[in-house]
Amino acid sequence: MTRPPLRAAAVLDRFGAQRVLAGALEEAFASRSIELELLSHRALVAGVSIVQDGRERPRVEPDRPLLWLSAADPSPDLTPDDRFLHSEVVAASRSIAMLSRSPVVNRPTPLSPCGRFPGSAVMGVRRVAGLPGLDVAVRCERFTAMQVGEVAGADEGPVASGAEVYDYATGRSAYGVADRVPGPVRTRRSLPSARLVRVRVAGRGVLAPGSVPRWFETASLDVARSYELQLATVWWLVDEAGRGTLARVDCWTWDRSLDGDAHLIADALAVWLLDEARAPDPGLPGLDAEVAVP
Amino acid sequence: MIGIAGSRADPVMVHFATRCVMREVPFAVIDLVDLAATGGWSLSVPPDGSDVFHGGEVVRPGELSGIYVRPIYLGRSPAEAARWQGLMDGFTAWMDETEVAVVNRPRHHQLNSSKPAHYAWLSASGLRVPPSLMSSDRERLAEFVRAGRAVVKPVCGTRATTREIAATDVDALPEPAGPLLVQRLVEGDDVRAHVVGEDVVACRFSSTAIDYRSDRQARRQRVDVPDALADLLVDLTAEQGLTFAGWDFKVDEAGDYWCLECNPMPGYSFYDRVCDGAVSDALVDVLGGWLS
Repeated sequence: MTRPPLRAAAVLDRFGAQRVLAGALEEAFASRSIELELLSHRALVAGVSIVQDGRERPRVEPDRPLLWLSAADPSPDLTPDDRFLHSEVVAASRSIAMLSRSPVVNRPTPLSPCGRFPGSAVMGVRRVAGLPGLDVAVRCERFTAMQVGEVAGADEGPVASGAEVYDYATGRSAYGVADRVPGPVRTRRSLPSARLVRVRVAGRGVLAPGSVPRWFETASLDVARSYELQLATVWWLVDEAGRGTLARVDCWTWDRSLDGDAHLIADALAVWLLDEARAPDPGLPGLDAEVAVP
Repeated sequence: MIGIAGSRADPVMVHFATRCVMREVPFAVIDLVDLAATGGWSLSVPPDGSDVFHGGEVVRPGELSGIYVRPIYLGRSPAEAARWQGLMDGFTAWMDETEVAVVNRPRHHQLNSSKPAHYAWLSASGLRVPPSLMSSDRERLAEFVRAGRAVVKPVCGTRATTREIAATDVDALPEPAGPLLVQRLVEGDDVRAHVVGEDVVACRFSSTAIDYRSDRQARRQRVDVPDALADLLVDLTAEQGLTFAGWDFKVDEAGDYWCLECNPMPGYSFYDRVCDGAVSDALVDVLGGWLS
C-alpha cells in the first residue's frame, strides 16, 4: 500500500523578511515529496482547532508537522482592536505548536516562544555559561543610562573605550564610543583581535566555515540542543589561539542573515522532519500526561 | 530593605507599599516608568556592588533583601520604548543572576498568555480543568456551546470580564473574526488562592454573576483550601519557576475544585483586603529575608 505524502506547514513571514527562506523550503520539501504549506500565524490559526475535553490529552485538529520559524506576524501600526486580535492569534498559534503531537521545528515551550531560548539575547548567551559539561566563555555585560539632560564628565563617561556597544536609542552597535551618548547602552569588553565566526545549526547538523575547529561545531550543537532548537545561528569570537567566546545566539532565521545558506538549511530541515515523522511519538513533557484529578 | 520595582500608577504596588508602611518595614521604590523616562542606571551582569538606579531615589539593588517587581510599560513614543527596552534588558538579566530574592524571577512559565497550552499543563499536572475548545470554525464553536453552558475568554493573557456565550452569539460573529476560546461553564463559588513561597492564602466569593469581580454585592470570606490541593499548588507554583502566583478556581455543588488559571503576576490587592493583608504579609516575609 502506498503511504500518503507527508503534509507539513511552515509558519513564517513568506512575503517579507523570510521570503527567500520560504522559497528554499518549498523547493527542498517538494524534492522530498513532502507537501509543504507556507502559512502566516493568522492563516494557521484559521484552520486549526484545539479540543480539550478534560479526560483525554488535548487534540490539535488537524495535527501536522510544523516548521515554527517566526514568533508572530508582522504588526505595523495596529489599532487597539487589531492589537488585541494580533495577541489572540499569537497566543493561539503558540498553543497549536506546543500541543501538536507531530514534529515541530523549534517547538515553543512553557518558557519561550522558540524552544527554551530566553526572551532576552543577553540571557541567551549568559545562561550557556552555566550548562553542565560545556566549557564556554561568555563576557560580563553592563547596562547604563544617564539621566535625561545629564552630560557625562570629562573623565567619566557611561562607556569605557575598547568596548562593544549597543545603543538602544539608535539601534546600532559599534566598538568604543566616539561621542558620549546618553544611551541607554549595553556594553561588553571588545576582543579586537578575534574574528567573528558563524555556525548555523540546522536539523541534526551544522553549517560552518571549513576553517573553524570541530570544537565549535560540537559546542554550537550543544548550545542549540540545550535550548531545544533545531534551527539556530551561534556566533563566536575566535581569538588567535583558537579559543572561542560565545557572542550571540539567534533562534529566528531571517533572509538578511542567510548568506547563501537557504537551500542547505531547507534541505536539513526536510531531512529532520522526515526522520522525526517516522519516529514513535515521544509525548510532550509536562503537557500531555493522562488527566489525573485529585 | 525591600525594593518595590514597578510604577506608582499601579494600585498593586501602592497597596504593597502601604502594607510595608503599616508594618514598619523599610522599603525603597524603584519606579521603572520614571526611570525609563528620565532616570539613570548602571547594572552589571553578573551583578556587582556598583549597580545602581538613579531615579526619585538612589537605590543599590544588590543591597536589598528582596525585590518585588511588576514591570508594566506605560510609554508611548519610540524614544520611550527604546529607553524602556534598555532598562528592562539590563534589569531582567540582572534579576536572572542576582542572589537577592526576586518575586518573580524572569525564568518562569509564560503559559498563562497562551490559554489552551496553559489548560493542558494544568490538566496534566493533576488539576480538574473544564473542557474547552479553541477554534475559528463557527460551526464547531456553536456545537460546543449548544452542548452546555459555556463562557468565552481571551486566548492570550489579556484581562477581560468573563461572560457567558450562546450559540446565537457565535452565529452573529463577523467572518473572519479570529480564534475564539470557549470553556464549559462551571456553576458555583469562586476561590482565588495566592501562593507565596510555601504559604497559601485563599478567599471565596459567592455571586450570581458570571464574573464575580463585577459584582460588588458578592459575599466574600477568607477560607482554607483542602490540604492536598494546597500542597499541590505550592509544588506547581515552584515548578513554574514562580514564588508568587494567583490561582483561580470554581467550586461546584459537590465541592470539587475546577482550576481556571494560574496568574504569574497577580493583581492581588483586591483579594488582600478580603484576607486582612495576609498576602502582603507573606510577601514581606519572603522578600524581607526573615524566612531564610
